Amino acid sequence: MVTGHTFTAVMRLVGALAIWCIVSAILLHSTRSEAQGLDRDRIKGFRRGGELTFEPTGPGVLFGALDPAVKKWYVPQELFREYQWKQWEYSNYARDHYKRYVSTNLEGDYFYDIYGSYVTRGWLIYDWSQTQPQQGGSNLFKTERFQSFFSRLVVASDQKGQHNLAITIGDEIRSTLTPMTFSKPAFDGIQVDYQSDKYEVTALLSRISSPGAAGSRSPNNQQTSSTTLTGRRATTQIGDYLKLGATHVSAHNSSQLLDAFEGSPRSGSITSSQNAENVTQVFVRLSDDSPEDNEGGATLFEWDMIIEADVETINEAGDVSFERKTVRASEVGLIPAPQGGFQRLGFWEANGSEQIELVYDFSVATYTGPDPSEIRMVTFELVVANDYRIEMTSDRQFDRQLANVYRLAARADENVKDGSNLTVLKIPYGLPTATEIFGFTLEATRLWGFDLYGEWDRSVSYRKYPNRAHTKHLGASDQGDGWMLNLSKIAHPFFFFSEAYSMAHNYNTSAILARGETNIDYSDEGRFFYELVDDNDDQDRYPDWQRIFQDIDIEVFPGYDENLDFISDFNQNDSEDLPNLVPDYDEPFLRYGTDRPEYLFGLDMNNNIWVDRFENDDEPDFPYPRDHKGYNIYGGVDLLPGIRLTVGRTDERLIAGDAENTTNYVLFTLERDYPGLGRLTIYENFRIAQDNIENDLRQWNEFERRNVPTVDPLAAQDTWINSTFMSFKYTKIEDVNFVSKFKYDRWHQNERQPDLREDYTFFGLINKMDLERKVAYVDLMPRIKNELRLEAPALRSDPERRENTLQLSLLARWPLFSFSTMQAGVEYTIFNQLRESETAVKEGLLDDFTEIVGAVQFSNVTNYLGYRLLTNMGMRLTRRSIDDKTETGSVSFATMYAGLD
Amino acid sequence: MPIGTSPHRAVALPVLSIVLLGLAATGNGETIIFGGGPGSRAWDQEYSEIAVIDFETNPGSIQPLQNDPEENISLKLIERGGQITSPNARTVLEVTQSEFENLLGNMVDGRNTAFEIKIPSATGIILRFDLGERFGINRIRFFPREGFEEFFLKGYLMRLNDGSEEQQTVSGNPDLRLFKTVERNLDPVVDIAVPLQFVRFIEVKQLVRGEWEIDEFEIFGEGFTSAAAYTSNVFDEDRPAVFGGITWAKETIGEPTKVSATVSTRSGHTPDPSDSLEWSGWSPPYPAGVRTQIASPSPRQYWQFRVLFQSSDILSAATVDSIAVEVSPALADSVVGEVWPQDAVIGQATELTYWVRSYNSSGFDQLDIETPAPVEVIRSVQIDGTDVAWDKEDIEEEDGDIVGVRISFPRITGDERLLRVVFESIALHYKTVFVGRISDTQRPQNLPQMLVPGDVDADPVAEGDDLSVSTRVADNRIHFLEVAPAPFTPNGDGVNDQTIVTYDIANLTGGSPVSVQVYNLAGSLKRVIYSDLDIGGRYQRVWDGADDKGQMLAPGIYLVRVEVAADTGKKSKTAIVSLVY
Repeated sequence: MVTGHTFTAVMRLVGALAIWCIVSAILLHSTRSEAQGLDRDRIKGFRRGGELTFEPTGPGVLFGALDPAVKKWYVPQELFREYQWKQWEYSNYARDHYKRYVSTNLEGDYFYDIYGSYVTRGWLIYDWSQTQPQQGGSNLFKTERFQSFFSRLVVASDQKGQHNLAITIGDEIRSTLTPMTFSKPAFDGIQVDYQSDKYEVTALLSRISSPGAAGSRSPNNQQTSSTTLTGRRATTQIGDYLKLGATHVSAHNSSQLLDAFEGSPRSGSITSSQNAENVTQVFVRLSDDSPEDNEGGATLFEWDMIIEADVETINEAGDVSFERKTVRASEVGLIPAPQGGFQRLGFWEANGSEQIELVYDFSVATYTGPDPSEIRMVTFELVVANDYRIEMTSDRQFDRQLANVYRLAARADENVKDGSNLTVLKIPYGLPTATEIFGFTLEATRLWGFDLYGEWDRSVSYRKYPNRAHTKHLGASDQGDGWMLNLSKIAHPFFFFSEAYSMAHNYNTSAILARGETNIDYSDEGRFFYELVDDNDDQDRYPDWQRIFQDIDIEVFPGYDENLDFISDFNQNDSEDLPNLVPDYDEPFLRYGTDRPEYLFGLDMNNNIWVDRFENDDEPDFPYPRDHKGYNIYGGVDLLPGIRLTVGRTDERLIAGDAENTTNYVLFTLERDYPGLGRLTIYENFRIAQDNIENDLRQWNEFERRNVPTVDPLAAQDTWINSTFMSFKYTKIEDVNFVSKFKYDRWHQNERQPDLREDYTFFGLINKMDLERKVAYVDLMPRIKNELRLEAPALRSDPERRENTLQLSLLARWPLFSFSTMQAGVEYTIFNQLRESETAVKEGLLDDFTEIVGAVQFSNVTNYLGYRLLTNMGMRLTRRSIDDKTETGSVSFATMYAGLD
Repeated sequence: MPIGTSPHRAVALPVLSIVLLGLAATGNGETIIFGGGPGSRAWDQEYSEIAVIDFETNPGSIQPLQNDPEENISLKLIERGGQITSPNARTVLEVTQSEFENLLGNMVDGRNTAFEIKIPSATGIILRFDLGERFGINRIRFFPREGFEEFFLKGYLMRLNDGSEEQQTVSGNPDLRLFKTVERNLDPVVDIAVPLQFVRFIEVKQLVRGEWEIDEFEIFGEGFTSAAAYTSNVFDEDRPAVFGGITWAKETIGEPTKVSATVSTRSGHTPDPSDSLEWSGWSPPYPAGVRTQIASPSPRQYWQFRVLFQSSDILSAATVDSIAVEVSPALADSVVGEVWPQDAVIGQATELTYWVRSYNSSGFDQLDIETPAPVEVIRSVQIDGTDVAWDKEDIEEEDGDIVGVRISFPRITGDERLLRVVFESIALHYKTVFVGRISDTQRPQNLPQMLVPGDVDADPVAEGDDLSVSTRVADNRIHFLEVAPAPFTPNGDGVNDQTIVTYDIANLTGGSPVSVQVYNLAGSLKRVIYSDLDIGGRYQRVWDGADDKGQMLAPGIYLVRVEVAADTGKKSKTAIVSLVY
């Protein structure tokens, strides 16, 4: 019996089916219409043969082409309407001329999405897919068109209302999440950005182990082991003043042989090359973290290794099972004797350059523990004290020559020498698999008049212990924190700024790359390291260090290139096609306009004698250096327009060392224009410093034309420092330029330092004047420049300099024809060592000399094929006299430039 | 006046020798003296290996070699371990490697033979000189042979490197710095003045195409080499010997903070020190000017010492005048010691059993045990399982600190004799080592013999086979503080006239500033009883009730505060004491 309830249910079902049929019919109709419309469009309304579609449907059977004839069928069934059943052919081009075949490449290919839907006809630009588990499952391919059509940069974008979206794929994207987490001048990968009024989101994606060069497909496109970078940052505006941000960056190794979700996108995976053999030897090395003091180095009281292993057991029934066992190496016959260092009562010690090495060799006869193939993890247990530095390696951690490469595992805080930091360290050993950084930012604008920026980040370096028998590996990680806080306020005429910071010594933004099946060379930073934060002190498009898949910047001279032409402003006439090895301040005629860098004024907050804005180092461009913590605070007042007084204090120290920098400073600046007279500039910086932090640099050397290591002489360990600069540019007389510059530096040592002079002084005075006058057809420019330099360098080993250089020159230019000129010049230089008597000049210094340089040049300017053709022909003669010796040199030239100006 | 012959120094060295001999005389056994003057062993007769050591400038002492400004350093370049190389010349010359090396050697042989490039099209030839050591260089000179003057380098570039770590590339190669570029050289004899500086590597690159040769590449300098080494002969004592103290003194020429000299020893069972199984490693450096117990293991039949010189200043060097080493025959072929238990609670009195097994002993009747605190209780002394009569006395250092206990017992001779001592002591370090030495009162001229940690095979329970007792790793610097008697009555009646502040400092292996201060209840500092460097151990300081001016303080309650300013931070502990009259 059908109940009323059942009837209702059946009716509902029938109703639902009816609705489904109607909706399906409508959808089917609309789809067909759309598809037909598409086809019509595609073949301009004319459809030959059967159904034409580019959807992935497979071939079908055309009703009209089913002709049961015996004759051989050579024509596609779709063409039967045009050719009917004619199989014979005769080609005659008398009336209709023959047309060449058209390359189908010019029409592009047809592409389909992951659902099988037809996407487009055209060309592949960029394709990156990760397939697991599959040999060579990481596939990244940039076609030639990525480079030729789009110059290696494509941007997809969308926008609706306040919402903006951009997807950027490029080889050189200037990309920064925050300066402490991710910052690269040339990021090779995908950047997805979203921005609205309140929110900002960025995602980064790249296969950094082989980001792929545009070109034809090669085996390098496919990799089984690779390193993937993911980065993301989101910010949100809270109210009118606050902005909160969060950042996460991960560079992790992955193996495409693992099942999906088997690896970890945070801690990474052991790659197939890392897992090719089992570890049979593990090494630990202890050394002095502050070897320069030769005392209080690493102290080792006890050592042992904890071994975790999956040991195979077979029960009586013959079933095999694995049991996790933990044993101590000392209990299974593995007690290595320390090699190196010195044995004291109850402990071993390594001072200065001494090193203590412990070798855990699983192949020694006394070892009775788990087989290396069963070991899942080893952890070192070390009782240590004082200023230790601990590094580890194994026979699976090597370089190209298969020599072991040690990697830092632990460092002592500060430079403890009395054993009071006695501690038990447990350090698991593993091969590096990933680097992860996460952090938060807080930004406030005009909050109670203050501007604030704060950032906290944590870097996590993951490592895992390899084992051939397993795809999942046990691991551990090290963490390093970094934070910074900037607070400032301007309440005219007063202003205030403070900064506090701490960067752990092990704050790590480097990742080790898994480059396919190639053995990783753990010592080769150039080929196997990837930097999340690059060193790019000159802020150009090239990082300053050599890393794979990115161009290196050979010439780094931050602050020396104010016109941003990538040429040092001190050698402006240098170019790739026409190299010039002489700095402008030493080159005839140019030396009038260019003064030596020593005459520049600047701030030197780290007291290493180099102006901060000219410094180039070999560290990532963090806002603050690693292993430093401290603060800097200053306040000041604008006394008058262009006149400012600033007072401040810096207090910073090393975290893992015992050096510190305490500097109190005053800065007075004055820049004023006196209309009709000229411009006056005065800078005065006075500091009292106690600074023994080494800030070594790699500075540009104009003579060697490269960056050379530059050691901080530690000239401000207990010192007062004065730096005064004055200049006046006189402009009252038309066509007459008069410039006077004066700089005086003095570093006074309050306590005697063996290497340093009691007073490092630099006194420099430059006066120069030029005049431009036209006499008849001739432009005349007489010039005079005098440079006085009195210097007692900081290091006693450098000779004192007391030098005066006087230059007199006259340039003349007169026209020839319409676009040709002649130019002649003569320059006379007198160089003197200001000695009290005619004693020999100190070694390393120039002897007195006089030099006369004469030059003549013919110039022509012609417009030619759209270029401004500039021709110079001439010669220069130089005659230098030192004592009774005279040297004469000449240069003749004929040069042509195709100018654009 | 040449460096190193100043009148000041000429007087200082004989005085130093006398002091050294005096220091050496404070030890026992035979004292062997090297250098210093008549009666001692001569430096130049007792070395097995030297590197740039000067015996002659200051007779009786050794120092790094001082360059003679007139002497061509490059003549001994090959002999010293240096080398001359060229990355591209051999390809141009098309000669075998050995021929090429001979050609390169012609530049530093002092003879009329030359390194020749007689191929007109050749250019860019690079020559690299490794001097083998860092030298203070002030002049470089090179020239063609006589009669071949037209074949000189018409243009060259010179680069230098001082051989220091600071001037190395990331890959560890010398980072050569451009020193001079001469694009047009007209002088056959190139004579370059170099500001005095350390140089190890020199590179010369040909800039102008043409035929050329170098007869001699001369290098001149002054000052001292930056590193030098003296390794003594291996000394054979004929039978196992024990070592006492070593005493040596250092003198400095120039800047003292720029130079160092270190002396180390090693000992072995065989004549060949390269046998690492039978020889110990080099000991930690011994401090200069004080007698220090030799750290190399004993008894050993063979021993050796080494002196290493370092200088970071060209014009400065250290000199070593003489070294005195105390040696005597061993009291036994071997003496093994063991202590049990090997774990203790830090600072808590623990009963320890101390075994000593001697092998083939010629006789001993005293055992010294180093302890972190005075030993109050000795429970028993047994020889081969039998209780014997014993006596004890504290071992006191010159400053009054008690550093151990000396136990006397009936003389033990013969083979495999077992001594067992049960006593109470405390452990104040993570690994407190109870160092033991045996001595023989009947033969005072023989040096005490140190116990070797190991298994004495006396008790199966004692498994540690060591002389150390471990405690928990703890951050407790001042473990114990007691002021007794309290109250005390400094009234001159001879009873409780002073109080003793006893404190234990734990887990400090290096000296840290320690102060013992007395405050009144208002918090005013009244007296600093002690302020100096202490390492871990038990200390006792006496307070007589007076303040810093010597005035007796008023009766009342006072606070005694002990503070340790360790490198990781300050720790303090306070006790109360009543002063009563």
